[in-house]
Amino acid sequence: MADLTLNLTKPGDTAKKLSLNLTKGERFTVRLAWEGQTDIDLHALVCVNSGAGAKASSFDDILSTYNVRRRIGMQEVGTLAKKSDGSFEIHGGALVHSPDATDGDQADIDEWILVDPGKLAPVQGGVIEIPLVTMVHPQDGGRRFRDVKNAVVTIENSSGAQLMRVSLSTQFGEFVGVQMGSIMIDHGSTNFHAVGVGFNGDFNTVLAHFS
Amino acid sequence: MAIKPTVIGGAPASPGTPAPSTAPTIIGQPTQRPTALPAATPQPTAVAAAAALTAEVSRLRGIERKALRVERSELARRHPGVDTAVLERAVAVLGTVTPEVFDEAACAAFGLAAQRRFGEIVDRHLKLLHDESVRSAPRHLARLHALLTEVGEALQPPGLLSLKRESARERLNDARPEIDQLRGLLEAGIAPLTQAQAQLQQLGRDAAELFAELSALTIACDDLAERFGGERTHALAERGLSIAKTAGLLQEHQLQTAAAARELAQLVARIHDGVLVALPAWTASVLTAADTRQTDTQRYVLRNALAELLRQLDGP
Repeated sequence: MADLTLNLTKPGDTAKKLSLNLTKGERFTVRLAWEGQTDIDLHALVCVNSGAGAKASSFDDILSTYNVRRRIGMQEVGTLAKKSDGSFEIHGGALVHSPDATDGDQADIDEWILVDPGKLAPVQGGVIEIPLVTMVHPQDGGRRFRDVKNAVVTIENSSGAQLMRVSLSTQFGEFVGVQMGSIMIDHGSTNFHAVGVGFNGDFNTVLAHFS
Repeated sequence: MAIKPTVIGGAPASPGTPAPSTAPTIIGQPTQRPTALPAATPQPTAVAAAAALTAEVSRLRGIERKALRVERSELARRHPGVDTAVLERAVAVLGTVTPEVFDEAACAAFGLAAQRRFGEIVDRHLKLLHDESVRSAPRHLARLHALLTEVGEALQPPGLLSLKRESARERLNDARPEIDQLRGLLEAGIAPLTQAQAQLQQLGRDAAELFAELSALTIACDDLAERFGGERTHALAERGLSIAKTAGLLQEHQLQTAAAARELAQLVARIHDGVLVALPAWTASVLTAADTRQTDTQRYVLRNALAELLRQLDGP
């Protein structure tokens, strides 16, 4: 038999005080800058990690310029719609990517990604993990980061504190890709965890690992 | 057997005890006090600890590179008196150094990019000083000064040999085409001069930023030289010395930039206050003076006004 319960409220009881959650959600900004004509890209994936590694389940989870809708020959490829300013996003704006930069000619920052974990729905039985990756575009004649001048990626939180600063050109010169780290979102707790792994492979290698 | 009722939280009230009198609440009672926030020392609210992660961070297969992690406090201890912001920058610089790949070539290239920026800043400064608007304005002001001085000679008290000399008004009318042309050129030059002022201020900010970076690089160099051994230490010690010299040169350059900014601001003020305000006022005074020969008093007033105008064109 179910436990008996009674409503213990009586007329005249003091009403519960109104209150608001005053905590502002943590946000992250990933910035990539470089000089010269090489094409470098930032990528991020919204994955679920249930203990066996981060896994993305749909193309809607992949924030990458390779996943932007475009026509190649007669075939339309990609999932994400490009906005009028060239930017694109996933999960209702939880992750936003700047317009794709195909060279490092911008004055300061060439590409960026904004991550607003507050816009992501929590998942059951695991945590949300967002691996952050930067890669040299494979069609750039086999170039590696050492061939790119002053390639630097930084990651900041919403209060402007720098959580990571990596010189791709000097620290990861012999690689074409680097996983800077992952943003982990676990039931109200949001943190960036640095990884700093350099690898050689294309973006499909990254997708294969995270799917 | 008599069973007593169970009483929760205290002794039962004696049946004979009179109930406390409850006075009715009176709205608007004079003794009513306004609601006040709690005056007691507030206790800090405990923040709930973040839930522990239930999953490890996923890593791509590859080679892990860990940059140096140096605490600011450690640098502060070794470099007492250094500004906190510079120390933080040094920590950030060291955070981009990965020992496994920081070879002799990397040591030899350490800080070179920042030193090149010093050269760029000097080049920008020189380009600014050789800008035509910056160079021509003082020349125009000097010519205007000379023309007005000539006109002013007619305002001197007449001597024995000056009975037939031109009046100030006649001299001014003769010189007016050139005066008006110079005034137009100087007025048109204000916008580019103001732009040059803004560029010079930006240059000052960039120089200050670079100085902070060079200072941080010097500290980082020192730290790295102690951390590594052999040829790398030697190379880093040389780099540290070279960067410190650049920082010294930059400091000298900052003083020059500040002086140039002051001179440019004075130049703009001379054009604005002298050419655009005082000159038209003085010209009108001369031209509207009586047609007949001017009295000593009129000449005295115009002479004083001209002296003030020339002082403004001269600058401090």
